[in-house]
Amino acid sequence: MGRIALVTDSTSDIRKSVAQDKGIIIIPLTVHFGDESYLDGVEIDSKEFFRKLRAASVMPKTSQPSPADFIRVYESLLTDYDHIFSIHISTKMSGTLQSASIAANTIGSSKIEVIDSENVSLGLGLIVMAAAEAIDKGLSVEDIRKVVEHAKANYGLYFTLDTLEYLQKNGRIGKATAFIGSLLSVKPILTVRNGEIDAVERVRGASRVYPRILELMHEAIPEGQEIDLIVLHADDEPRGEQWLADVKSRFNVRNSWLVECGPIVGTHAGPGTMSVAWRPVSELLK
Amino acid sequence: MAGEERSQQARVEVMDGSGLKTAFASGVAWLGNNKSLVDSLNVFPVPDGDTGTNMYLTVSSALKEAQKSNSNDIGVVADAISLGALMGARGNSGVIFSQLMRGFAKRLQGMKTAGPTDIAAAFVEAANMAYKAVIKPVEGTILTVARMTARGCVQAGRQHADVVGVLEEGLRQGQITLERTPEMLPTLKEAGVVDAGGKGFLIFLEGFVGALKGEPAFEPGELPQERPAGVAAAAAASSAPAARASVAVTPEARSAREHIEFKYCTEFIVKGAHLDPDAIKAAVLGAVEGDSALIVGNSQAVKVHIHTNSPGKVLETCLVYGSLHEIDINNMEDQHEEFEAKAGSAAEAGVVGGDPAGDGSGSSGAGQGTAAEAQERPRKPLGVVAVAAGDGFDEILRSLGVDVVVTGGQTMNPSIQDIAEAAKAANADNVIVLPNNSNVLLTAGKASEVPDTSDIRIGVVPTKTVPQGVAALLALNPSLSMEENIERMTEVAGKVKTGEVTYAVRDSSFNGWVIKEGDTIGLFDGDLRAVGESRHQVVEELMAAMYSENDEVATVFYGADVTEEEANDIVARLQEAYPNLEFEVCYGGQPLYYYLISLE
Repeated sequence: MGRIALVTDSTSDIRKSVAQDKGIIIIPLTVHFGDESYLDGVEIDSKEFFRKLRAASVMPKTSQPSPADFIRVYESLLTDYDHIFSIHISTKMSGTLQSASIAANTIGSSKIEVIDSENVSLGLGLIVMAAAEAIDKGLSVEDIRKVVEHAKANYGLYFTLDTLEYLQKNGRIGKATAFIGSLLSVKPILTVRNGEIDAVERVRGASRVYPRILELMHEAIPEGQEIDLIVLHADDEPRGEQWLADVKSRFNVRNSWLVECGPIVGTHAGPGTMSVAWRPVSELLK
Repeated sequence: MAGEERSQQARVEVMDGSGLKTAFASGVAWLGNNKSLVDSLNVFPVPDGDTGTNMYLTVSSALKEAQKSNSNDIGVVADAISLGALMGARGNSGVIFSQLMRGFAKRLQGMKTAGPTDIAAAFVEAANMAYKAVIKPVEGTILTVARMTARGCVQAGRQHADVVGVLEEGLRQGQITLERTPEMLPTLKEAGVVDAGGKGFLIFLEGFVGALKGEPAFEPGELPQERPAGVAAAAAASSAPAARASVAVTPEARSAREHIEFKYCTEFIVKGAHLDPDAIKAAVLGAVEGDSALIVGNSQAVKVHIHTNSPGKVLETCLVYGSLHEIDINNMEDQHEEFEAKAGSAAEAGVVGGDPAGDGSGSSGAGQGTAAEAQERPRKPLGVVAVAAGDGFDEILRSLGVDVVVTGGQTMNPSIQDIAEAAKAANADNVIVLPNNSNVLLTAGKASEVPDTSDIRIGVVPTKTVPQGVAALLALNPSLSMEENIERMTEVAGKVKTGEVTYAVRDSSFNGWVIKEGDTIGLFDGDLRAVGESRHQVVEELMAAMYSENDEVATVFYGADVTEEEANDIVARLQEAYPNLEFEVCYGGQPLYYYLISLE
């Protein structure tokens, strides 16, 4: 029984401190403001990103890591580890997994297992945290894989945006296109389904979004079910803390994390993003 | 009893297909002459009383279908009437009427002729069918009147009355019941009216019986000057009682679908002085070969309707007598194609309107393709049809994901056929219909019964107001199944409060309010809550009645008859009075209703 490594990318919005603590390696994507480029989470953090975004005259762009970035990381890990789980943002949203696959094939090692999370941001984070816990518990590669599959299949996620403009401009709107162009002021409630953004419904009035998300959660989560929870905010920590405390008071929450929307996700979602994601606790982790 | 005063007349022992057609046409005409009387019987003094018009349009459509049939079997003609009523049914009363006809036809199915007891049994079946169709039958409405009419028919039938006797006794008991409707429904009593649907039904029946008696009791006042859009030629053709009409149907039963001997349905009105309908009829029939000739009228106007292969000759012949008006010539072989084309053009309207900018700007049509392409495009899984009036609402609804907006609601209830066509034009396997008006609820529910839509699953979210429809649309999720969507949309729609601000069309009193004609009135979920002379004041009073502490968002849709300035001014005042509410002002463009307010 050898050592097992865990790799993800910066779209997982996992906090640096948590990643260090759990030994999760995060490959950064890059955000570009005009000619300036910043490695996500390395050269720019969430607060700095939103400060720049507000001041910027042009929309930022993002780019995936190169295969070489993955090769460097995988090769150094292979010297110490017997298996690598590399879990990434949905292929329908980013070419990151493509780079990871090329890297794994180039190295030609069967020890590198690249997984499409079919998710993003805190949804991806939830899956990665499940894998980290499974590794920490000393589960076998096979059981870790089961834990990851369970998390992929059983998560719930809702998010809301101030506007769909950013998603639309960046081509990441997925199936939420149906929500574009409303003549009334409405707030969208969205989710990630089958690896892409999907529409849930629209709500009149910002104040009614959170109560509606809570209702949807009550419909989705069986009474008393034990869940792990992540709440995400975009440069609005007080609101994030408020959501987290409130959800924790209403559901049977085991582990929970408050995360910030990072520069990559922020580029596509825009300011005003709030999200909550959860998954039931796998039997293998109990 | 019934029939005694007619002792000098021959007994009518049986009725055949042409007899039914003739009587039905007379009923349609009599209802047409009296439809505004029925319209005026609306309980609420809102300017959308249209029960009579809706029923008239329904029976007109039924008649049109009946006249297409060349069979002399009463069962076949009744079937055609039933189908036509279903296709053309508008409004609640129209839908109920279509169900009456369905029951009537069911009882007569397969029969060549019907005797008095058959007719009585058909009226019983008609009432039964209508009761079954209505989800919550209410006594004191057309349902009760139809049931008691049927009872009268049955009683007379047991006493060996002839067909006319049966119907007269039915009519008599129906009248007695109608007079009693205010006792059964308190809202009728307070408004001081009898039930409009019941009245319409009996007026129709009066015309029906009148024709059978062959008495000139139903002199037409004058030919109707207006022909509502979408009303069939045959309807107008029957605007004089058929009792006096010359009906020349060729005796051989022919299949109209396979071969039409006389292709051109030719109709127009001759106007002049001292016209002689009989002379014109003789001249036309002498000049051309044809069938289904219906040439009726009075000294000032004569309606000509004939199926012929020489429409030009008919026009020439009649020019001698006076000036020609409302000329309408149709190739009956095109009827089927016409239907298809109509659905196609509706599709195009839907597609072009899909322009998210909603400004009809150039690229919208080009980008989305033509109607023909729309037909070829693969169907999407889920489409939405909504009923609303007003150009603003049209754009708002499309922006929220509606594929086809059917114009209608307060002023003109769309027919089952209108909704069925819109559902086809939505180009989807499953279509959700938002009726957005309580008078359209039943119609929407029947759209799936139109044979043409058999390959589309149609579901209804029972929205009673446009604001409810807007709320329902926000819950629409194209990724979910129709059933899941209907459940979610229905739930959300139920949470919205609707305020309506309009004006009174006549003096009235309701719930203790005294209303003068022209007053501005405010309704909260259909209940009268404010009356006054100023719109500002009525909106404020209505808002006070609607508001509760849990409300968060208010949207004010202003209509075609008020300015944006006035709307903004009213909302600015409301915002001061309700600082915690989020207000939005939107142009709805709806007729008759100054403001529609949604509060949630």
